[in-house]
Amino acid sequence: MIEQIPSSIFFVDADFDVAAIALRLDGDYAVSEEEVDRGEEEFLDTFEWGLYWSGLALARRGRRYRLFSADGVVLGEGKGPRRKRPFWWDFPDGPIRDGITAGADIRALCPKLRMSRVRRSFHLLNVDEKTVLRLWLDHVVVGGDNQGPVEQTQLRLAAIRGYEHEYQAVRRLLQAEGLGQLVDGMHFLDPVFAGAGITVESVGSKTVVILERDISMGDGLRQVGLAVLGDIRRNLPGTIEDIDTEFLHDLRISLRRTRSLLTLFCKVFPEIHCNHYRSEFRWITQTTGKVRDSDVYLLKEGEYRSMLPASLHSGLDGFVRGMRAYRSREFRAMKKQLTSPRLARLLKDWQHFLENLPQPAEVAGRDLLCRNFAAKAVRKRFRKILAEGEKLGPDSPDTMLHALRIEAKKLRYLLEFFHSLFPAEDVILLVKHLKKLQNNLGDYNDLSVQQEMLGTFRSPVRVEDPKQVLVIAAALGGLVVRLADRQRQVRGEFDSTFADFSGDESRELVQRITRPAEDDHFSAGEGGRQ
Amino acid sequence: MKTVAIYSSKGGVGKTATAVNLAYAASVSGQRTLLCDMDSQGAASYYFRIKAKKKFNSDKLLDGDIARNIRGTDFSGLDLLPAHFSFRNLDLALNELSKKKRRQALAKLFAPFAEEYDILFLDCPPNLTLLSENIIEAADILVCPVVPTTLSLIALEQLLKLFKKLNADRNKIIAFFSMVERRKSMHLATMDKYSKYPLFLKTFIPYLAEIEKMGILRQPVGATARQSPAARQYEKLWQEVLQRGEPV
Ligand SMILES: Nc1ncnc2c1ncn2[C@@H]1O[C@H](COP(=O)(O)OP(=O)(O)OP(=O)(O)O)[C@@H](O)[C@H]1O
Ligand SMILES: [Mg+2]
Repeated sequence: MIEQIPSSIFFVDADFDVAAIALRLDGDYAVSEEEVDRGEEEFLDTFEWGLYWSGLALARRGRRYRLFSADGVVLGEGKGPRRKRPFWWDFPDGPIRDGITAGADIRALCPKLRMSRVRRSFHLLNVDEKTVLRLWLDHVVVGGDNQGPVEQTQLRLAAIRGYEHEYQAVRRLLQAEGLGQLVDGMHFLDPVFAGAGITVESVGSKTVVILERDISMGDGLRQVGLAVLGDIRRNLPGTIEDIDTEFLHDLRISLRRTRSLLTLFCKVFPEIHCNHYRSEFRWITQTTGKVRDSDVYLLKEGEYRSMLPASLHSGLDGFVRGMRAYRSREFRAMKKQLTSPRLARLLKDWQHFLENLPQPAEVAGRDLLCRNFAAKAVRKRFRKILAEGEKLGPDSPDTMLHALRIEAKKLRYLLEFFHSLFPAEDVILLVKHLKKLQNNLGDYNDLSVQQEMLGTFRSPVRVEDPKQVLVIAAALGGLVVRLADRQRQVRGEFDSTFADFSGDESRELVQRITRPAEDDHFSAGEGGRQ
Repeated sequence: MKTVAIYSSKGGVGKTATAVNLAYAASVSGQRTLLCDMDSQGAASYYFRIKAKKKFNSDKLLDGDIARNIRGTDFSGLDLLPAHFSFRNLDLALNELSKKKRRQALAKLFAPFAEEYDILFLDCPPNLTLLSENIIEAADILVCPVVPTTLSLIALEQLLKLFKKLNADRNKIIAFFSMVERRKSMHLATMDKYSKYPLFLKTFIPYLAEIEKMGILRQPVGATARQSPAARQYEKLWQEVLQRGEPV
């Protein structure tokens, strides 16, 4: 069992007198000031605040980094990478690297907040001049949102093992003074963020849309469409700046979701001209494909390495070099499209289109409640998956698996778009089952794409040494063999995976999810009102 | 967790000075360190300005009531289990245990701390008793300061004999020369004669005023001045002990 050292944070005035604490304690105590440390500090986090959500904070000053836990305790300290937006793998081995790996994942750590900070450290000493409590007075100044600089002072206490008595005594004293305190579960940067007008968004790659239960079909589709458009816009700058590979990945997801939504629109509003948007969104999705593919291979470098004997590693290095060159060429081409007036116009028009969707009243004779419409779509998609999956035999061509994968993806999107209209637990369960099927189909597809690509890859970097050409070919050949093995295995697992998905449980879930609103006694009224 | 006992049956050879400064050196290098003051005189506790809690005593120790009597020193990564006056009776108390438990008692007591600490130091009182046997059982490494004089070497011989009697692994013993005074020809001659034995480390600790002054400043020499000759010498000693004790 490892002892937890208690600590706490109080909010105090900038001129708080730490030395006075000693005088007000019973017994012989003194406060000594140890050091003053001042400087500009920058806090880093991923685009989605991965460190914050894992209860951490990473600060740096020049190349010196410091990792904090949410309650302000320093977990690690040391020299780190120079680059402006480092990744966890840029850090040397040690507590910082270990601490941030899970929270940062494959995302870049971007500067989020700059503050100037004065930290004074104090010790509370007993009669023997033994330190019995550590205290820090942190005064920070942050550039505010629009109300000018924000100042804040926090007093942090950290107990010393075996001297909890003194820690408690000082805490009681400060509490009796009515000082505000950082409550359990709060992040020590929360008050600073609040003061500076910084909102820590909890969104993942996909904005979660909560629709009103009785929302009309048109309004529902519009809200989902606008949310997905928001995801596109959020991920576009990071993709163009090439901050990390997830921006492009998430951008592509939101583009695919948009296209899936478009298919719904076309069915619902046949009188609206959708073809223009369909072809434009197809265009922009396709321009991002090659860069994403090369990202996938580069991210798999370690995995590939572990698949090959050491003798072929230099061949893999050659491949990686070639892939990097290929990626930078493709990236330039993609960037041109992503910054083009054509895309800007598309997004603007699409927003206008969504905002001016015809009201349901104008399209009579259809399910006017979004819930009913969504339920019908889910039911239809589910039936289609069952039918197509059952047709699949051990010798069916890859194209059939591919088609099933697309159907599964469409169902997934539907469930995500409209989840707030369905019973939450049922949707979560169904998505869980669906995910297993999607993983099987996705793995199968990835493996065949990889084999195809590795078998035909031509490096844009000229390799002069004919021997090296052979080594690269040998490495790629080795990989293809390993991947083909794995693919056969995945294919072998399809039948049982599909049987699980198409079983009674999923069927019942779909039935519950898509039960018509009329049967639902919670329903506020008839579907056709308004 | 590696258990390092600083031991000699002879008094005043620099055991406590060694325990305090090696523990400090270990913690500075990032090892989570616990120093246990096994000597009822409490010299190590004194150097860290730590007193035992009122309710602590040798019975509590043998009952395994240790965790809440550990106290943090002024240095991060370095904790101390302070001595208590009653520790002078540890021998008697150990004697009362059943024969089976007697020699392993100490090793068992510290086993629960294996996760929390990387290194456990034991600062031992100068004697050759049941407690010493317990310490030998518990320790992975037994560091013996030897002042280069005949008397001090006798203590080392006694220890080797005890190891034989207990059938313990002699490789655990690491000796080094302590409180070496270059002006004294006897010191130099003794070192000359014995340093060829693999039992002895190359690093030795000279007699230094800085180390003597620890009694006034009440902190490890490295805390007073990280780069002082004494501090550097203890760091070197710690590195050599670690290297020697590697394949445990
Ligand atoms: N290398 C040294 N140079 C100068 N003085 C030293 C040195 N080592 C120890 N001393 C001093 O010698 C005295 C005895 O040292 P220390 O207490 O470390 O020995 P010990 O073996 O622990 O003694 P005991 O057997 O009483 O526990 C102390 O006053 C200490 O400050
Ligand atoms: Mg001593």
